[in-house]
Amino acid sequence: MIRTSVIGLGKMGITHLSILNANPEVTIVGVCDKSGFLLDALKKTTSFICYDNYEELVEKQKPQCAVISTPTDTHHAITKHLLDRNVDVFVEKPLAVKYDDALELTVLADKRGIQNQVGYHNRFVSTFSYVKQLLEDEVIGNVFHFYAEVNGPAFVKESRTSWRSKTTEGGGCLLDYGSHLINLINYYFGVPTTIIGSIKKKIFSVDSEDAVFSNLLFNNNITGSLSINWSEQTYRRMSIVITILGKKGKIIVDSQECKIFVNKEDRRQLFKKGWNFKYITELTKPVDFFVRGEEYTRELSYFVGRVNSKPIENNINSFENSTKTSLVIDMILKDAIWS
Amino acid sequence: MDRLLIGDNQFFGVNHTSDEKGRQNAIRFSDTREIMKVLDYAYELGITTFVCSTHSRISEICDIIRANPAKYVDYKVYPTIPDVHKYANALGDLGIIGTLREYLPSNPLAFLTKGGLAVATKDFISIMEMLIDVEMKMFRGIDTRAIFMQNNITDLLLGLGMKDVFVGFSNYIRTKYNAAPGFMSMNLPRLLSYLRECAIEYPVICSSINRIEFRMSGGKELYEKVIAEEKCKCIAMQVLAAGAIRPEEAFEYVCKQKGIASILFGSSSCANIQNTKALVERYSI
Repeated sequence: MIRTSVIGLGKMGITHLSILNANPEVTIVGVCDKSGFLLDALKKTTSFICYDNYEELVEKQKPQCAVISTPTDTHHAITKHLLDRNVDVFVEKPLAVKYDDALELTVLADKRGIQNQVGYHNRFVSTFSYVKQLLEDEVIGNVFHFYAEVNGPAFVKESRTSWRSKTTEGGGCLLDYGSHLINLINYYFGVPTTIIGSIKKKIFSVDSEDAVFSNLLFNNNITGSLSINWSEQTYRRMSIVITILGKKGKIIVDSQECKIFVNKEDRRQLFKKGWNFKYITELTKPVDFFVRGEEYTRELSYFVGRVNSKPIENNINSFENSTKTSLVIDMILKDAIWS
Repeated sequence: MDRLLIGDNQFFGVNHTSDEKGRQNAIRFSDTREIMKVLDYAYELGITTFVCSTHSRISEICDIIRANPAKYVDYKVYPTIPDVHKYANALGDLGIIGTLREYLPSNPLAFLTKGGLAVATKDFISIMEMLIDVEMKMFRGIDTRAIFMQNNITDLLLGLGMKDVFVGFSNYIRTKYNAAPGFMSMNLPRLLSYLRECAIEYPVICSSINRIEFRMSGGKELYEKVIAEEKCKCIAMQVLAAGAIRPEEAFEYVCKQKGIASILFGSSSCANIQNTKALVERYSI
């Protein structure tokens, strides 16, 4: 049994705790949160050992691995504390507010040989991972451009107090919605060499960006445009759509469906000439335990598997990969003007 | 419980294979009269149970049902609580105490008495009961003989192992609302076995059940075994796996599972409702 702790019990943290607690390979040895009210609720209704101080939890429980799902501005200090004590870590996205901090954690984790993962769960959504395979198989030939957009209603009311409107606390749509989209772009196309024409807009926030529009240029003549907006009131929830244009076809993908156009029949993929459709219902297999989405169980099973077997290579959501996302966010912020 | 129950996802932009189709439907049903046309057609065909969320627009539907008692004489509404999006957004912005302040009864006197006391003494079961009352307010005067816990909450609590909350929910739904407590879940086998540990026998469970194993955690074989044991009142949802399965095959599969009592389906067209009813009747014999 892997001795596991969960630090930070917000929406994602409590989801991770529920999934891990149902995993037969895991035993939960302590949970931590700043909210006394929540800890009291857990003490009264569950058997978890609760702490309001992560240092005390680590000292007393000596977990083998931990999930960190605290506010983003605390990730760096907590993760460093755990890495220094050789605890394998899964950190919610984004890895850190600042690129330099993300880089420091990556170097430290690699130097110590500690298993590390970031909660960019879209890489575990079957439609998005399927497109990664299609691109590797060059199903639509050489890609020359993509349109990537993410929209949703995370911030649709004026607020001066919400952390979402404060850049220093990890607010702003770029670190939140934007990091998910950029992480997928990194997954498909790597890191751009140049960012141009970036615009950031305040819609409801006082201090931070609610929408960002930008253009990305890559080494291999691929270009892309980004549109990120978390103040989109007509959406029910966060929704990513990526349209990829290639010489031999086109792909439109979101978390539920994948539309593939090919200009001639592809026998390897069993695609007919013209439009082909693949849905999440056929691409995804059931997980052992489901809370809110298969991807959350899958990313944690992947992490637990790596904690068990300690491989070094091919970590799909490593700190290193996540740091590329932080780098692109940094590049966009340096390029962007307020409008 | 009726054999066929109509759901509300299609009216509010939920579509499990296409966000785009979901948004188109949300636009089409932005006028509540359009929703009522679909529900009325289903009602004429004898589908007299509506399973719904507590989306703010459901209260408009409840108003219409209340205002026309002769028309909806045997109409039943099975609420699914809570509205998780509402609470998730509030938790992100306001924190736990802020969210409770926002949604617990706004009458300052009421809050000072039951609500205030419950928060101060951390009586979590009382807090849950008050939140149930808040969610149920829009259904007053309507026949709600089954009340479901929303699947994200059920499955979250199941993973956390919050036995007292399941027991508290069941007891409160039975005593205060004289209704059957139900649970939406994507983990039917695990949930059923856990509810038995909680001494909640023969519960109502609504779960994704379909021929292609979509959202059937633990796998189809295990589901079929558990369903056949008939240890719960089982409602199948996502029977069509959001359109991935042809209706004939989809309904044939669920209708032939002996332990499935009811089928929850979503439909936005009259032709579709008629077809669904015909298929379920054909394969249920």
